[in-house]
Amino acid sequence: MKKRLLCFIAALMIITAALSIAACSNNKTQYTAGQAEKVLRIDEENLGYPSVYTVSSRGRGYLLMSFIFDTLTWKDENGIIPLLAEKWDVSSDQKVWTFHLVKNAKFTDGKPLTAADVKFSFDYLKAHPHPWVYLNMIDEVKTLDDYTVEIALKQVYAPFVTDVAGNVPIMPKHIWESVKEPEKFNTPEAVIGSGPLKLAKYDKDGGTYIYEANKDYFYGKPVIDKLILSSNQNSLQALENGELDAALRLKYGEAIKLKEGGKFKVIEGPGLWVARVYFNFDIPEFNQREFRQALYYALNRQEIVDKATRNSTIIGNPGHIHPDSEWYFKDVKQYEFDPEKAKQLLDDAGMKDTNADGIRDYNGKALEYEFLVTDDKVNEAEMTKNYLAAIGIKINVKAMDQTNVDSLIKEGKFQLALSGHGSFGGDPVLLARFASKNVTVGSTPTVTAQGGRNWSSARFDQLFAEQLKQTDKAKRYEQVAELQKIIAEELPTLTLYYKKIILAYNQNKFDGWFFTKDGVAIAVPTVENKLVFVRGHWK
Amino acid sequence: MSKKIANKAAWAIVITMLSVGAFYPFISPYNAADFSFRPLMDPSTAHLLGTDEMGHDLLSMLLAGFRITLTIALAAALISTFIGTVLAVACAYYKNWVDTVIVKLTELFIIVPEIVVLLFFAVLAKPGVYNTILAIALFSWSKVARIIRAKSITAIEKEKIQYTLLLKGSIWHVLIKMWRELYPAVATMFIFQCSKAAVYESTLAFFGIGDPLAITWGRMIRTALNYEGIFTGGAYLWYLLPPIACVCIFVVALSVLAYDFERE
Amino acid sequence: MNILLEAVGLNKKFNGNTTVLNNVCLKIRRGGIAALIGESGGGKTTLCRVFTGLEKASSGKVLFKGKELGTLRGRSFDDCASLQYIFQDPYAALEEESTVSSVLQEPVNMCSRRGRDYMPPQEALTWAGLAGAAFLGRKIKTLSGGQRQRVSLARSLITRPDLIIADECTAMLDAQAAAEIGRIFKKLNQKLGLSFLIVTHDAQFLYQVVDYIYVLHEGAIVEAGPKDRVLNIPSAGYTREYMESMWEIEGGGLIEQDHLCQPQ
Ligand SMILES: Nc1ncnc2c1ncn2[C@@H]1O[C@H](COP(=O)(O)OP(=O)(O)O)[C@@H](O)[C@H]1O
Ligand SMILES: [Mg+2]
Repeated sequence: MKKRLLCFIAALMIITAALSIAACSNNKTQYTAGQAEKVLRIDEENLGYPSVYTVSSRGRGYLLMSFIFDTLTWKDENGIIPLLAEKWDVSSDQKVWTFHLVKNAKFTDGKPLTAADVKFSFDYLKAHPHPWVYLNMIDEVKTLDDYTVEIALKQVYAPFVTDVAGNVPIMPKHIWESVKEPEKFNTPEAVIGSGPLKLAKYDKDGGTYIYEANKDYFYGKPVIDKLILSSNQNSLQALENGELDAALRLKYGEAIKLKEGGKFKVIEGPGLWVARVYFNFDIPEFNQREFRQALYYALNRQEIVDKATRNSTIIGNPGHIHPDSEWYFKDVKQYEFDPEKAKQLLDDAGMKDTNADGIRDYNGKALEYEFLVTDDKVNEAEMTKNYLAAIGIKINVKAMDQTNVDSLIKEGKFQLALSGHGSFGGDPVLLARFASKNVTVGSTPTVTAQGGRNWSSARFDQLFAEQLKQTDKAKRYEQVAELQKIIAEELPTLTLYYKKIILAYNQNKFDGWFFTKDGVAIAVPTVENKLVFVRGHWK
Repeated sequence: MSKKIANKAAWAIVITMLSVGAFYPFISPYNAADFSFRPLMDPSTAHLLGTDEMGHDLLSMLLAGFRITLTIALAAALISTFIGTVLAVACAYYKNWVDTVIVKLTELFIIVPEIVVLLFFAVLAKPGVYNTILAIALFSWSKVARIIRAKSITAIEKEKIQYTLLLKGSIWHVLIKMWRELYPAVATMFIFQCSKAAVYESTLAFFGIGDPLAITWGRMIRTALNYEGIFTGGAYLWYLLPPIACVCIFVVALSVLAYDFERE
Repeated sequence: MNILLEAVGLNKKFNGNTTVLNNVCLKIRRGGIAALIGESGGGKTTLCRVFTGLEKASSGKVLFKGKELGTLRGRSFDDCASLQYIFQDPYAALEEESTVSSVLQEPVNMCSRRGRDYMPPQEALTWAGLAGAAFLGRKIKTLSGGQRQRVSLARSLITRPDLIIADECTAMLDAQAAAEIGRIFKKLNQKLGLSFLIVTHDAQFLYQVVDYIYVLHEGAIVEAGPKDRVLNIPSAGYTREYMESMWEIEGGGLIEQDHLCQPQ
């Protein structure tokens, strides 16, 4: 007995000791930083080696890569700005774009960045497809001289400036032309770009990134010397202990508490991140519009926002587009919480409980589904389960981590799913996720695609294709509004809520943070726009 | 003498816990799945342990946790101990290639990280409490088998068991005959598996195996730790501490019992 | 002559090299009480275990009632039941916590399951000199060594065997208890026609119970013959030595070869 107890106590002591040592060592690593050098420390997750093809294909992966690789155009808090291209023109038929490059851009190995590198990058990405970028609309990329590039399109593409020119990373031709397998290219050459930061160190196991300033950055010398991104276990604690200068991975409630504490500044912006219910259209009844509408009526979205997300989100819009977006159209079909209406719709669709087991049946099969959710959405799942039980639909919740949920949805191995993703906002090209494959020539990341049979509508496809070619913004808005009406009516997905993002930071060290309008590149929501490191101010 | 008291107290605790699990609907103040209360209430006479972030009554959840947590723990331990023991005895009984195959299989399950087994299982399994039990059993039996095999191989050489072999007794006869030899080790393994399962259950729910909505202590601990205000104010006292205390008491009580078996 | 058990050129090597049995050939007559004697470590137990099937011979064969016996797994239940084995240590052979009746129930169950005629436990106990119904309820741990050995004997009687092999079954008993066992063997031999092969170092046994003796030395049978001849005029030098060490007797004479087969 004694021996066992001793073992137990010893084990406890070892664990406590290990924890406190870990805590202490955390405290110690920070003092070396931030004295002479201007080091900025932010929390991040491990997203892989930050080269174009090796970094995670999620939005934040793009962000880490964008610190190193520049694009022709970029965005700041007010919208589109020139970056590598100091100006550009477009032909009257909107099909030929001419970009005039800055003359002083240089790669960090000292070689100048020229039109040849731009042409090369477009061609390379076309030859080696990447989930961020689709270039199907491009006919040809030509270099007119060392600093002029002409891009000819096969057809008009409305979001070209943001989603193509503002998205394609310009890679040094002299390095990449010999790279045959970019997915395996993870040498120091793979992270030579023209951006404000260069990679000094990446710790693959710990997920720590150390970037150093590119002092020769053509856009301006960065105000920081070093940027350290590390995967902290507890961002709140790390921020409070001074181990971080800014923290993104905070819970909304934590951030509110920090704000109330007054020691840190907290800014809040649209997350460009949506949580939605996916239907697998291989299941016959999911193809009935009334069924999907009934589900939407049955969900008390306001209560989900209040209780499950504790106000860290805003309520989802039936037309899918974020209400803060300039493309938002509000007069679409609305679905106020109404279980009676939901039941009526199901009754009318012939889905009645024929065997009195409390679950409705359709074609002799009970309406019982597996509900795949990400492991951070168990509260939402619990509420959804209750709402649906109230109208006679049974769901069995299966929770998995984001990566697994993503791949199951992508492979179509699910029935009903609740998941969320970024790349939401910016150009309405994001509605491509509801268009058939043959019309989605746009640059919409495949991370949001779902496998199995998809919803499809010929009218939606046609309108979607038309608006992509519409260069008159007012006319395009009308078409996009029409698309939102169709989505609200048809509900190919149930938009539950949009996340807000927050950044809490020590304003006594570094400030100048802003939310990028519509997110960087293809709408990666962020405050970590690389320009912050150039335009911000060190205190 | 004091050991006797510890043993009795442990039995008393385990039996009390099991009875709470069996009869909690009669003493639970509310339905544990009901989240219609105001969230994050402090303890009051209406809610002795207050409510959680969603508005569940915490006392009702704690009581409901007795049933599912203990059922999972006991059932998973029972299955893994049974499988492990039978395979171990098969090794001793059949020897030769049967032994080799089972030992290889056991080693495989021991070296393959549990997480791999889990992910593999998660893809195939429908979510639910049964699958939690099966999954825990799936990666626990090998440890039981390894320990019990060693015991069985010594035990089967004992003359009283060789007698059964001489009468051409089947593996079941041998198992029954060996039971008294194996019992302390089997009971110890059973109890260890129980405590492990009690702790593991909540983790599994987040691997897509169990039912993440099943009301268990593990789930309560997890949601409590996810609540950012848990340590500011006294919330941890009525939100986090009770389920942790329940798991600890259960595990410690079982360890006391396990120890007594082992000493036999 | 009616031969019950025959060993033909048995060899046994442990771990491939140490030779424990070296071309053992012997024939055991039905209806006799044969003794196997020899120095400790000479291979007597190994030979018995080869007969029972608990050990596999490296080469050679065992014939029982003229039929070849394979490994234990290959033997029929009837063969196993007809050839019973009494272990040396009465403390290890019986489960301490069991009662006499449950010990005796095991062979009863085995026989009835396989449709073999068996001796009722009461009767077997009577033969073993343990009369009284009350005895059936006794726990093994309350019995003396002699009583336990007689329970072992009763257990082997239940299957109505033809041959009982007893390996130093009196070594751990006091002289009186040993003598009692000897008397019972004799009685069983005379009344039931049961044959015995007894490993023993007990001179009393040799003189009063046994009618035939085999001498095993360094794994080989060095002498075999009727008790009177082997004891009084041992032919092999080793036998004489062995006898001297036991009784300090003198003698000498011809070697009678009729119960030794020709070495191959
Ligand atoms: N399982 C075994 N492995 C290796 N050697 C053994 C084994 N069993 C017995 N022996 C050896 O065989 C020899 C004969 O043993 P045993 O048959 O028990 O002799 P006896 O019964 O005549 O005293 C001894 O030297 C013993 O060490
Ligand atoms: Mg011996």
